Amino acid sequence: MGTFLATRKMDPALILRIERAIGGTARPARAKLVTARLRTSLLRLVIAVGATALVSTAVMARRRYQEEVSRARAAVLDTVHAQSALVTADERGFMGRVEPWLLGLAAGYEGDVVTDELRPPRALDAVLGRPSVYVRGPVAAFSSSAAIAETASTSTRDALLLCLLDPPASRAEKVVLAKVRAAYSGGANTGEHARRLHDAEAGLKQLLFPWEERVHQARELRDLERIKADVGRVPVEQTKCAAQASLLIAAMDEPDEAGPADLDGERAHQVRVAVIDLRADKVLLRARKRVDPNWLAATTRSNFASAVDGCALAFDVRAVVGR
Amino acid sequence: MHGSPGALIPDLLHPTPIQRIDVEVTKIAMTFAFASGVSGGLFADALQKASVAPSTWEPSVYAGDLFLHEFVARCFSVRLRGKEASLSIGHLVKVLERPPADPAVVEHRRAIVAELAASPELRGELEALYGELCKFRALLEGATAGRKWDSNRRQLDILVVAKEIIDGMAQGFGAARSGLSILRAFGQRVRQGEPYRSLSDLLRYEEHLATVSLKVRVGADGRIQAFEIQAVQENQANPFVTSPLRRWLARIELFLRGYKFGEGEIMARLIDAVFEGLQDDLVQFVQLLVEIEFYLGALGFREMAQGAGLSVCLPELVGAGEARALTALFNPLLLVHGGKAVPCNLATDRHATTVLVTGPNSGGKTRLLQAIGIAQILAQSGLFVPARTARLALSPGLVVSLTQETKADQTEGRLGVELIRIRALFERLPPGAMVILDELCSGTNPSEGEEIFELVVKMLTRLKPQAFITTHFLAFAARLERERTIADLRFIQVELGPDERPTYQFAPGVARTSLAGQAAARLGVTGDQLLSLVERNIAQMQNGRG
Repeated sequence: MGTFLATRKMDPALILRIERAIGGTARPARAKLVTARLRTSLLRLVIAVGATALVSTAVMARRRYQEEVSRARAAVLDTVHAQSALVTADERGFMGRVEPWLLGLAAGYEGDVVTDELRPPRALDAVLGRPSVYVRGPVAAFSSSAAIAETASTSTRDALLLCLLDPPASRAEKVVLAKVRAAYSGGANTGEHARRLHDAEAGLKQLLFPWEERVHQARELRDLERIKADVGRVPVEQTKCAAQASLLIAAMDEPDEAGPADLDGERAHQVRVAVIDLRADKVLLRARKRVDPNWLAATTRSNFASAVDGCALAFDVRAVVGR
Repeated sequence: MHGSPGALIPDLLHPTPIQRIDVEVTKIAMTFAFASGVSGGLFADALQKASVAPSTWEPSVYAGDLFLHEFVARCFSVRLRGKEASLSIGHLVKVLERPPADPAVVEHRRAIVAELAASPELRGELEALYGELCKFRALLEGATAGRKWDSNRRQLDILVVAKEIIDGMAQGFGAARSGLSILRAFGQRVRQGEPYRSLSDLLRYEEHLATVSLKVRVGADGRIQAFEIQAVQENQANPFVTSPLRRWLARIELFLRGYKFGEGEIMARLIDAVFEGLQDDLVQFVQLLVEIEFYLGALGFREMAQGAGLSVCLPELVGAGEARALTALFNPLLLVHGGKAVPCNLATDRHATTVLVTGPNSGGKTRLLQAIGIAQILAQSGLFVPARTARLALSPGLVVSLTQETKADQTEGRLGVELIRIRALFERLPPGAMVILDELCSGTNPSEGEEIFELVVKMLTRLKPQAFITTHFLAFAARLERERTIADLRFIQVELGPDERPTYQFAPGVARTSLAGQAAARLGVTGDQLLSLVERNIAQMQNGRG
């Protein structure tokens, strides 16, 4: 039996005694002591083996888990890569093309514009039939990219847009109100090619999010599951449709004039409306019109002042082209 | 009882070394004491069961009457660095009360005593060795409380002392020509062995693992500004030195074997291994310690006597047929009690005689008998006897009967007890033994007592004893002296001074008087003194009634 306590320089007799001293060979007089020590030794050996097995099992389980995490990470990365590949470079730069126009329109009104291509009969309908994005908000809410994003998130396909795409037959209160009601009760599906700017802005933000980096940072399976769910929630088709728009329809409400507000907050004020050709990078239509709910009957004003004003505004804008 | 073949036992008491302690039992006790620091009196236990050389003497028939235990406890003293050492009195008494039957053993001891008395250097070396052995015993038996918390430190301390003992023996006693030379031989033999080399290596390893060379930079203010290690040199020649990795692996090995996981555990196991190798030699220290006490105690006795203006000597040993001569013999028990010992001379034309001692009461007869008995024991043990010069013959036995105390369970009267004593004496007495009897047959009327006395003395002479018997049967003694009907009978008497007081010297012949009157007067037992006491008591009683 060898022992690490002994060295080659030691006398063999001393080595033998050292071996006896550590219980290697038992002396009769120390039999009980050696037995007790042997018991302790065996116990420690069992504990050591048990601890090693436990640690090995834990290490192997951890390794298996890590492999599972790696596999999950690869799967999520594949999804992320596939999703990212769906977005074209043109689509990625969509907001970059939109924002300057909005910032410009909000900065100051440069006068009414109607391009010649809108003059022919039904030319406006043809233009408005192209894929477009729409946004409306107060002028002050278009002062920066962040403000534009915030405004876009609250801007919906309202009566102005719907009536612009499908105008009422006349500006009479009854006709406009009927159009608004029709639009709000199903007519909202009208002109699905005109989408909210928010669809493009928020969608692109999610699509361009550094998912890959987040995936690499994730250490646990549950984190990857969460990322996978987040990636799955990204409205890719909706975003792509919005980002592929060639037309920007923007409406900016100038500050309200003095006077009492209606129940829905509508007051008389100027509205800047612009139709921008994003492909040609030019203004097709720019107009500034006053809306004033005072022309409406009291019952209509209390419930539909904004919507009716919006629809009437659309009628007025189309009238500008028609004139 | 003898040591194993090849083993050298540092026995100072016998020319042929004898293993007197139970080595195996003592080794186990020593191992336990070394490991635990609690021995429960390892040395005392081993010595209590230790044997002595074969002896024809039976201690029960003399030791009590001679107050041997008291003599050893008070007269055998060893001083170490000004302090009185605690001797193994019980075992010393055991050695003394069983003198060796072999005259060669006596001569062996006498040679050692003579050499120690003549050579202060050898005595100094023996005292130094004794001091180290005492230190070894104290450390082993856990008598030193300090450092007990550090088991390794304590065990290393024991090993350091053990090495010093061995070195002291091997390097000392070069001038010894007597049995002391066995100490040097023993030391040198141990030093040649592997266990001693391992011990030396271990102690060097413990105090010198490595040499670290430092370069120290000192600033103008004398403070150390910086230092750097120039070199670390491990003591590679030492077999106990291993690499740090190996030491670490050793710790793991020990842990798996059921020991603690610590650097100290490695040292503990190495100490254990080294100690085991030395055990056969270290166990000899137990016996050696008390044997050194035997000689140093005897030298202490000599100095005690010299301090009282008395002399001791190694007696000239002669045959039983030769003359006995003791000059300036004194009773050491008197020194013990602070009394004044008056030395006397004692001479007989031959040893194998029966000497009747007569004299007045309190004349020193009993003290003389004690002195003769103690002198005989010491002479038989090879030690100094309490006399300036002495010519003595060794005796195969000793019977002493001095004190006759009445016991609660005594069924016989004084005479009956005395007769039983005489019967026991003859049952055990070998030819040529020494017999010391005080006031034989004094417990009955003189005429009947004298008959028994004469019978006993006649029978005794047939055994040719060295007998000393005191008696107050002065007329009877005078008749025996006059008629010479018993051969080998000698008579000495207490010498009286001009004022009829005892001089505590002894002269040939039989005393004429016991001077009982003088003793009675000295103790207030004269007619006038007793009468005055009686009259005083009567007067006191009458006054009480009045």
